[in-house]
Amino acid sequence: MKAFIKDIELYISSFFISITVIIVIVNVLLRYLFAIGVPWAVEMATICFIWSIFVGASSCYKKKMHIGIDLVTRTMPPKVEKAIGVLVNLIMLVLTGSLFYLSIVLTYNAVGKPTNVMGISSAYVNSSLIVGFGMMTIHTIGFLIEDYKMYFKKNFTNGLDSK
Amino acid sequence: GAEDEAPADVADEKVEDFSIKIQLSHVFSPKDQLSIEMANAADIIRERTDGAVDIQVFDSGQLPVYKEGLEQVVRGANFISVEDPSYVGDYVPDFVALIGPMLYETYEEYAAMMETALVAELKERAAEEGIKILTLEVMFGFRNMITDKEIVTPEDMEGMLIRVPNSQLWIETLGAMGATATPLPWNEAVPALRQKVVHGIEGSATTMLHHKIYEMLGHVSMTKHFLGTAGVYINTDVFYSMPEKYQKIVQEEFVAAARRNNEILIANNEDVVNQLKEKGVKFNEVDADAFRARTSVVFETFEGLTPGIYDRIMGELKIIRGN
Amino acid sequence: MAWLPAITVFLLYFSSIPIAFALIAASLVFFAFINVGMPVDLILQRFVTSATSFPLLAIPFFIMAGSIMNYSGISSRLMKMAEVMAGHLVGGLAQVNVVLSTLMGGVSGSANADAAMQSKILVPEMEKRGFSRPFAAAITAASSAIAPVIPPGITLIIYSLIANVSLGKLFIGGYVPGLIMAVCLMIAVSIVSKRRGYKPTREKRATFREIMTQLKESAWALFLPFGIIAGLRFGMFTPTEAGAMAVLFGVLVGFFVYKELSWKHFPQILKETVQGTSTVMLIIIAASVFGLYLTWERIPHIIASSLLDLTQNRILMLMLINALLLVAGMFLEGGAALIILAPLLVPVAYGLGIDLVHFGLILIVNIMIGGVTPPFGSMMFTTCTICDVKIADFIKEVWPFIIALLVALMIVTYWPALILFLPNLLM
Ligand code: NA
Ligand code: NA
Repeated sequence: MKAFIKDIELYISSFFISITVIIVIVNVLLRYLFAIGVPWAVEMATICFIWSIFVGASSCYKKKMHIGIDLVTRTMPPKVEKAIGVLVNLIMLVLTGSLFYLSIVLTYNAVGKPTNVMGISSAYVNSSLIVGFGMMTIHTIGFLIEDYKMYFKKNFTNGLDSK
Repeated sequence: GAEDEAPADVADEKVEDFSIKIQLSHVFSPKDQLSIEMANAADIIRERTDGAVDIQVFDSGQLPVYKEGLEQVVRGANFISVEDPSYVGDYVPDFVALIGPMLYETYEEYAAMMETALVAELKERAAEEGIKILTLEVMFGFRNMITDKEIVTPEDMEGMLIRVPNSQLWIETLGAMGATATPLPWNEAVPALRQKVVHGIEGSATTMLHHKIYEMLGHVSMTKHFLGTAGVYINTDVFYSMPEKYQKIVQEEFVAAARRNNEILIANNEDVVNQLKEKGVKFNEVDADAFRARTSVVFETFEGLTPGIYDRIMGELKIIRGN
Repeated sequence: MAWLPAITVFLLYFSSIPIAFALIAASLVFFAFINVGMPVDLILQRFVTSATSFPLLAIPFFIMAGSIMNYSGISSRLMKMAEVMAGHLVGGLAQVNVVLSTLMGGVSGSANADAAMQSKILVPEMEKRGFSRPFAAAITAASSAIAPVIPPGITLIIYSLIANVSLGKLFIGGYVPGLIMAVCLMIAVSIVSKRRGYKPTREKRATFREIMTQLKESAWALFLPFGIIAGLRFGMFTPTEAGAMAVLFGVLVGFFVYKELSWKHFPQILKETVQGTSTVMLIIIAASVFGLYLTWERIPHIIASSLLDLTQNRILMLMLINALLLVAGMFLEGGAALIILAPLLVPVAYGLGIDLVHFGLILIVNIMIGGVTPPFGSMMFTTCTICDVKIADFIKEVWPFIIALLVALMIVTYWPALILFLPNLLM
C-alpha cells in the first residue's frame, strides 16, 4: 500500500496512457473492419494523453529523470556544488510554485469553455496542469527538506544528481 | 452601436504621444490572399498613423491561433486574431448559428447579412465579452463535398467516412447530412485520403486545387453546406484605448482588406473551377432542399444557441432575397 | 533585453536544471517581466495546446512498441539473426553489435534505449570473448546512433511535425542513411579488429540452410518494419495510427506466436512508456512555449537571415550546420537538440532550396553523432554508466567509430540523390 502511494503518479499516468492506446487501436479496427467512425475518439485519446504527460512528468521529476547535465557543477569544489544544488532547488520551488498557481488561474478561466468535439468543459483538460505542477511543487519542497536535513548531518553527499 | 461606448475623446496632444504595438496572428500560409491582405492592412495602418499603431503580422500559426488566439484577445493581450467566426461562438454561441449549415447561396447574401441589425446585435454581445469585431466579411468560398462519386441526396452519403476538422459544428452537420464524420487534423487528411482511411473530404475548390486532391478524388458535389469565412478580432479595451482617429483607421483598413480579399476570391473562383475541370474533376448540383431539411436540426441541438435564432436568420435571409 | 531569456536557458541548464524546466523558466521570465502585453497564465494554455495534437501520439505508441519488443521475444530473435548474419566476420561480436542496432532500429526508435539494452546484453558477452570492455562500450554507443535513423524513430516523428514534411517520406528516407552508417561502422570495426586480432565468433560463414532456419524463426520480428511501411503505403492507417498498430502487433506476436509475453510484463512496459513519453513530451512542450518567445522577438528570422548573410553557398552552409549540430548533440540529448534547433534551421534550408526530407535526415544523423561524442554525448553516458567504463578509456576506443560516422554523415549530406531516391520512388 505504501509503495502504491509512493508511485501513485506512475499508476495514474499508466492508466491514462493505456486508455489512449486502447482508444486509438479500437478506433482503427472499427473503422477498417466495420466502417464505423467514432467522432470523439481522437479528442478523448488526446485528453488522456495530456493527463498522462503532466502526471507522468511529475513522477519523473520526483525520480530526477528529466534530461539535464550536472557535469559543469560536478567539476566545482564540493562546497560550491552543494550551494548550487540548494540554489537550484530554490529556483525550482519558485518555478513549480508559479506554474501551479498559474495553472489554477488558467483552469478557473477555462471552466465555461467547451472542447472542440465533445463540448465538455476545458477545465477537465487544464486541471491536469494543476495536478502535475502541484505534485512537482510538493516534491520540490521534499528535496529542500532533504537538503536541510543533510546540511545538519554535515557529511552530506551529493543528493542532487540529475540524470 | 459599440462605438458609442468609447471613452471621452483623447485630447490631441495625447494623440501625439500614443503608440501601440499589436501582434496579429493567423494560420494562413504566406502565399494565401488573406495573408497578403493582412500584411497590406498593417502597412497602410502604420503609414496612416505615422507608425503609432504598429501591427506585426505573424502567419502560419507561429503565434497562438484558433481557440488560443481568441483567448489572447478576450484576456486583453495586445493581439489581433483572425479566425473563423465559430471561435467567437465559444463566448457568444449564436455566432455558430450565423455561419451554420446550408444558409447562404451567394457571397452577396452573406455580405448583406453582415449589414443587418441581427449581426450588429451579435457584435455588441461579443464586445461585452471583450471581443471587438473589426470585420466578419472575409470569405474563402463555399465548402462542398469532395469525394469519388456523385452525391445528390443525403442518402448518397450513407456509410461514407468524411474527414472533418476537429469541430463540433462540422461533426454535427456532416452527421446530419448523412455521412460518418471523421475528425482528423489537416496534415493527416491527405495521407488518410491516399490510403482510403476516409472516403472524402469537404472543402473549397481552392483547397482541392492547391493540395492536389484531384489526384485522388474526382467529384465535387456542390452542397455549399458552409461558406468559409473569417473575422478579425481585437480586445474591446485595447481597441478603445487607442485615440478615436486611430480606431477609425484600424476599423476602415480591416474592412477594406476583407473586401479586397473577396474581390480577388470572386475573380479567381471561376478560374479555379476551370482548372479543376481541365484535370477531369466533375462538378454536380445537389438537392439542396433535402440537405437543408436534414441540417436544420443542428440549429436545435447545438448547445447554447438562443431559441429561435434559426428563424431570425432565415427571416433576414428572406428579406435579403426579396430585395 | 530581447536575448535575456536565451541567456537564462544556458545559465540554468549548466547549473544542472533539466532542459525542459530551463526553457519554461526562461519563457516565464520573458512573459512576466519583459513582454507584459499578455496575461502570464496564457502561456500555460500553450502547455496544453502544444500537446493537443494527434500526430504527437505516435511518440508514446512507438516507445511502447519498442518496450514490448523486448519482452515479447522479438529482440532476442533479432539478436540471433544478427549473429548468423555477421558472426563470421573479422571482429565477430562487434560486427554483430552493429548489425543488431540496425535490425533493432526497425522495431524501436530511441538511441539511448538501444545503447542501454545492448550494454546489458552484449557487452558482457563481448568481454567474455576477449574484447576489451571500453572497446565493447564504444562500439555499442556508436552503433546505437543507427537505431533512430532507421524507421520508426521518435526523432523522425518530431522532425516531420516541426518541418511539416510527410512522415511517410521521412520514414522511407531513413533506411539508406541508416545502412550507410552501419556499413561505415562495420568497415571501421574490421580495420580495428584486424590490428588487435579480435576473432570471429563463428568458425565460418553461416550456411544457406542455417540462414533460412534463423530467418524463419525471426520472420515475425523482421516483418514489423515492412508491415509499417506497407500499411502506410498501401493502406490501412495514418502514420500516427501505425504506432498503435505496432503496439498491437508486438502484443499479438508476444502472446500467441513466441508466447514469451505475459500480463506480468505490463507494469514494466507501462512504466517505461510513461517515463519515456513524459520526459520527451515535456521538452516538446517547453520548446513550444520557448518558441513563443522566440517568435515574438522574431529570433528565428534574425538567425536565419544572419546565417544566410554569412553564405548563400549550399555546401558551405551545410558544413556550417553540420559543425553546429555536432556541438549541439554533445550538449543535449538527441530529441531535445532536434526540438530546439530544427525550428531555427529549417527556414535556412528552405531559403537555400534544400529538400526538407533530406535536411531532416542530415539533422538526425548529425545530432546522433553528437550523442556519441565527448564531453556530453548522451549515449556515451548511458553505455559508460551501465558498463562501468571510465570516460577517458571510452574516448580512446571510440574515435575510429566517430570518424566512420562522420564519413557516413558526409555521404548523407552531400549525396542527396542517393538519400532521396527511395522516398521519391515510393511515396
Ligand atoms: Na549496437
Ligand atoms: Na528506429
